[in-house]
Amino acid sequence: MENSNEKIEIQGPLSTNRRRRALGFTNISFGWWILSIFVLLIIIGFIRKIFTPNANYFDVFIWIINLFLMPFGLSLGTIDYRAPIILRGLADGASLTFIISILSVVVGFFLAALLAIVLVNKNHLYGLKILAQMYVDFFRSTPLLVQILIVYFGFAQIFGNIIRNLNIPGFSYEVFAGTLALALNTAAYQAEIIRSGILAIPTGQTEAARGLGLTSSQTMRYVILPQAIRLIVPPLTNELINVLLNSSLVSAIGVVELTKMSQTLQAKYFLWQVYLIGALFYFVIAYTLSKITKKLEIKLRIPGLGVAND
Amino acid sequence: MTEEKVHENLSGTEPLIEIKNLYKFFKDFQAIKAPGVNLKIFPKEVLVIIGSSGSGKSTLLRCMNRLIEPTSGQIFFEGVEITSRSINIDEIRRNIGMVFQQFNLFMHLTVGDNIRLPLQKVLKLPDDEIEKRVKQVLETVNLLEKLDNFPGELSGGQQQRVAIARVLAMRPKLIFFDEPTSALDPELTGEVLQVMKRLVTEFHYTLVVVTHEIPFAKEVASRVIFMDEGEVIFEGKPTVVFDNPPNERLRKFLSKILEMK
Ligand SMILES: Nc1ncnc2c1ncn2[C@@H]1O[C@H](COP(=O)(O)OP(=O)(O)O)[C@@H](O)[C@H]1O
Ligand SMILES: [Mg+2]
Repeated sequence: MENSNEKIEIQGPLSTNRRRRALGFTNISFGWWILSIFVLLIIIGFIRKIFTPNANYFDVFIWIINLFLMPFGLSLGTIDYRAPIILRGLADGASLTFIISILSVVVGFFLAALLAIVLVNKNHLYGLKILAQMYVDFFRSTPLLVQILIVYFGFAQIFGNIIRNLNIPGFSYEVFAGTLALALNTAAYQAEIIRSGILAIPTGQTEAARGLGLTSSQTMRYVILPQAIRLIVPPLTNELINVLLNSSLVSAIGVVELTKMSQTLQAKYFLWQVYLIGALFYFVIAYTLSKITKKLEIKLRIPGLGVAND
Repeated sequence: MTEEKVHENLSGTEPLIEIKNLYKFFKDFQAIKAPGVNLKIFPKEVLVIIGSSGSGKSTLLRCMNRLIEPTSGQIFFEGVEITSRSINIDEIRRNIGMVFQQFNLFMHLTVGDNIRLPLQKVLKLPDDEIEKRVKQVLETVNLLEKLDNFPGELSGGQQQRVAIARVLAMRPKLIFFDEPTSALDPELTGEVLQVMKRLVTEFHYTLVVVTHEIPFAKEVASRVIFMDEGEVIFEGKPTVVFDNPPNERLRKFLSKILEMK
């Protein structure tokens, strides 16, 4: 089948397919071209922002949109004066959403790794194991919004002034509390993911390693964890996207991320479509992350070791 | 059947492993019954353990290198009590190879790295010595061409041969086999049994083999023990055990096995 297809293409005159393939635009890599250009433009935008502090990284995209509108004698601003302002505002919100999500997932991961080590241990560790289990249960059985409020008001006395005195631009106590709450929450979920990943490795692997004379920590390090990682990565990337979407709840404590920004702009211009564009921003980030992490999963794959199929 | 009779050709030699009153109790179940099993394993002998499923064969084997902690009783390895708390069991285990029913190769490592890992981390050998041993043991099991394959790319029989190679590279003093061919298709058991026979005839390894392969046991065993419901019921030479079993439960077990084949 494949062979005959190939022949037809070679004989025919330059088909669009062949031309596209010659440029590297195969079906598989087309998405990656778009993605790479997209990421590159964002990077350019941020670099520009370093030199001109008033600039917005999203300006680059607005120029490109204007470039397409130019032949018609139009620009985004002339179509609707609100459009560039809304896009810039939402872009700022999106970048804060992105930063908060990544930061809380990374911080949450380290916390989760500690929790998981305690949870998979056979010993009680002087009550530490029960505490870890209680932590996981609490964060998985209470609403995230309530957790955010508890952290926000609960830590205000301790951290509120410290962070205000640090006076880092963009890093308010609200951002700190929101990120911390998300990190604490995702730590519980990630701990559970890591724990079940480790427990999913058949006991035969441990038996073989110990039987050969490896110590229990060597067994963990060289045999169990490298295999568990491959089971853990897919649900962990899923969790990253969960956190990204759940981070909209920190708007409740006044963090001006994507959702709060949408609310503000909507209230200012009385334009419900702002939410639609905001949703599009969420979609683009989540979809991009899921594509990149899928690539990572495929990279980590090893024959005979169960990893999600593509 | 007295002990002297069975070991007539081995009298005077020190046992490699000696078990005294080994007893294992899982939460609610006596896997090895009180008062416990007594057993001696001598250098260069091939001890075959037979018995129906659930009779405690695996438990016995795993207790001998403390992959399972015995509830009570003593185990001596070359005269040293390895059930005592002060012993570092990891140092003992490097002398006792174990081959499992499910192969248990490390799935994330290539065949070569499976063999290298314990040589590096347990024996801490220099690289050139490791490479020499990897090549040597893979030649022994006839799988040198699979050096860079992952276990998931091999057949069950090939995986089991790699598992044997991994154990051989440690140069253990004896090797345990826990039903090494039970998870294999019938046409693949032959290649594994072939390798095991070579271990006996060419390399004169001391083996303890749990198996249901009666012809194989007849050929290589120097002694056979029969376990039933957590006890050693009968012990004797293969000719006695397989050709005219004097024990009723043993006869029943053997006819059941023959029926299945
Ligand atoms: N970890 C365990 N916990 C509880 N019972 C066990 C455990 N391992 C084995 N057993 C029980 O001990 C008995 C003997 O098991 P095993 O030694 O595996 O038998 P065999 O290898 O002869 O088939 C079985 O009834 C089994 O259910
Ligand atoms: Mg068994």
